[in-house]
Amino acid sequence: MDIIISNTAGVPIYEQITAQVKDAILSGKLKEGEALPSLRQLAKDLKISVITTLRAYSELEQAGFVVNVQGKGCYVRPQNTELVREQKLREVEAHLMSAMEAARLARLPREELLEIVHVLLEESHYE
Amino acid sequence: MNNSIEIKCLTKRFNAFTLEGVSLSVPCGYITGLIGPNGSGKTTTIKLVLGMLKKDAGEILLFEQDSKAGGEALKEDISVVMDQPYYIEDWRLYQVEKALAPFYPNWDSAAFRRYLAQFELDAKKKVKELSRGMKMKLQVAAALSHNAKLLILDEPTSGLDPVARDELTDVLQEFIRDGERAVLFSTHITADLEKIADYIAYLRDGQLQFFGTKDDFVGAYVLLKGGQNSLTDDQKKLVIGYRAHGAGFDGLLRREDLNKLPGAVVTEPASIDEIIVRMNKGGQ
Amino acid sequence: MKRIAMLNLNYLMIRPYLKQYLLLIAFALVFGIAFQNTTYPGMMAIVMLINLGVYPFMLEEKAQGDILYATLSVRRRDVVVGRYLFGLLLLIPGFLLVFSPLALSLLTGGPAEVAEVAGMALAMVVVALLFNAIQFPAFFKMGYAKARYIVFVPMIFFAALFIVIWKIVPNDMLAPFIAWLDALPTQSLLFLGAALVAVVFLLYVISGVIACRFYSARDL
Repeated sequence: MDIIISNTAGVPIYEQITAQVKDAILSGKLKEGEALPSLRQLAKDLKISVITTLRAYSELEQAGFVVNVQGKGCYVRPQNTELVREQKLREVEAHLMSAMEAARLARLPREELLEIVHVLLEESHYE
Repeated sequence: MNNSIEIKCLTKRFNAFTLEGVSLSVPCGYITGLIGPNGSGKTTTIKLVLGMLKKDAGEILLFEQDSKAGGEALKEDISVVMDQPYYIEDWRLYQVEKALAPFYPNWDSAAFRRYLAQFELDAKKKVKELSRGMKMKLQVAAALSHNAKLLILDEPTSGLDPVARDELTDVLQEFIRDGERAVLFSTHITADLEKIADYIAYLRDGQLQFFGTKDDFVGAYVLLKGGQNSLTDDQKKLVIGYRAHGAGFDGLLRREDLNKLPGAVVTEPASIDEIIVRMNKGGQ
Repeated sequence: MKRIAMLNLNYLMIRPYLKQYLLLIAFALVFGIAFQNTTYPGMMAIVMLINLGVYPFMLEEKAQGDILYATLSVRRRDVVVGRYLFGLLLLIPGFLLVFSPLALSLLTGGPAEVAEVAGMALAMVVVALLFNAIQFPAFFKMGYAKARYIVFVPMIFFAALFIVIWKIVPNDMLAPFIAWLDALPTQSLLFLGAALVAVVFLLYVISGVIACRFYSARDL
């Protein structure tokens, strides 16, 4: 699979990797049981440190997306899409709550808050 | 085996300089960068590991054996690349092989020839006829031809163009691919390590300032930029290597101190170079 | 085995530079064979031995040989022994030069100045080994750059000896000694010569032990 990282983005490289792999898994580009590129091959291809790829894969394993088979590699775990969807819904709620809290402190009227949401949806081409 | 080299409290005293209580390791399967300004003790450390200097105190373990007790046989699994090749300059490349091969039971002549071909080195040329980059590649070819488990490089890239340096990083990542072999890369050109180093040992004035993963090293700091009067005096004290200039200031900050600063400053990730330069200024 | 490998390494170090000596050696050989004169090839041999003996030290200094040895699986002692063995190895071409006048005689069956040749060979061994016995420990202790003027010590010693014997000591003191030597039976002469070689060889070995200590203790 393709993994494209940016050295100049403020986001740590291991986070970029986990985000892209998660995305690929959730969108079905990476199927259950498929193998991720080998740790060291990925490090060599992306010209990054092995420790970084190690961290990315460990986090993916901890989050339940992949399983690391000793001596063989990392494989995609079967995803419970319902659970994942619910978890993502909870995340959306939590983020919106903090946005609302910030809006409240700024004494932002409801209409303006909704306006901001619309504009953002437009600008990021949300489907 | 966990560590190819382990150094504990290593001390060496010279007239004008002392290497004091340095402890670090070179874990197998990873690339460890040894960094620091010139004269910080990097080459001294490597010479101590190789037995060229006698230590005053501390322990040196090579492949988990005491470097002295383990004897010179340990050297058969070690390769060294220096900024200048340590071969007779009038030797032709095939004579370099003739000189080295008898000392390595694992010498692989076919592999040496392969690397010479890969690096486009003519075996009939003399060492002194090679360009700087080719001299480095010659040492690498020899280093890779006897199944070494540990590769030590001391300033291998000074004076090299970016293409040659990139080729070297490729070679090093390939070297550690089996997860068993180790690399110790000492340099003051940290751009080479910026990407591929797994661990960093940072020396300054003969003392170890940091040893850990590179991600932790760079992740612990941010580069800070702001206006001339953005910070209070207390806040300025937090900044490492604070540099005021006509258009503002810049400096280094520990990531955990970020919340103590006003919002009107710009932060960005710090490179290894930035950290070293600021640390040197800041006297931390 | 490591010491043999070191010996070989010494040879490989000087190999690129042997060409410079080929012409001189060839000339000396021709001279020796043609004129049946052992003095010129003998002198040539001595000069060559002393120069070539020092070459590895000079080359090492330039090429950071100390680093090379540190990366190889040899002890400091092996480096020193290898160098001393090399000093002995150089005697072989030296003998070839010195004995060259005999070559013609061997072929034609003509007369041979064996005594002269033997004397020259003895002188070569004594001078070369003594020179190296004095120089080598100095180089191993201080490195080529700092120690290279030490080569003048034995030179001055031998030059002084030469001057003393040939010029200062009056002929009447020397003559009986030379007469006595001439009168000695060949066996005794051989025995004397062998004893002299043995003594010089012993000094060479002692020098080697000292050089080992020096090099092993050194910070490189």
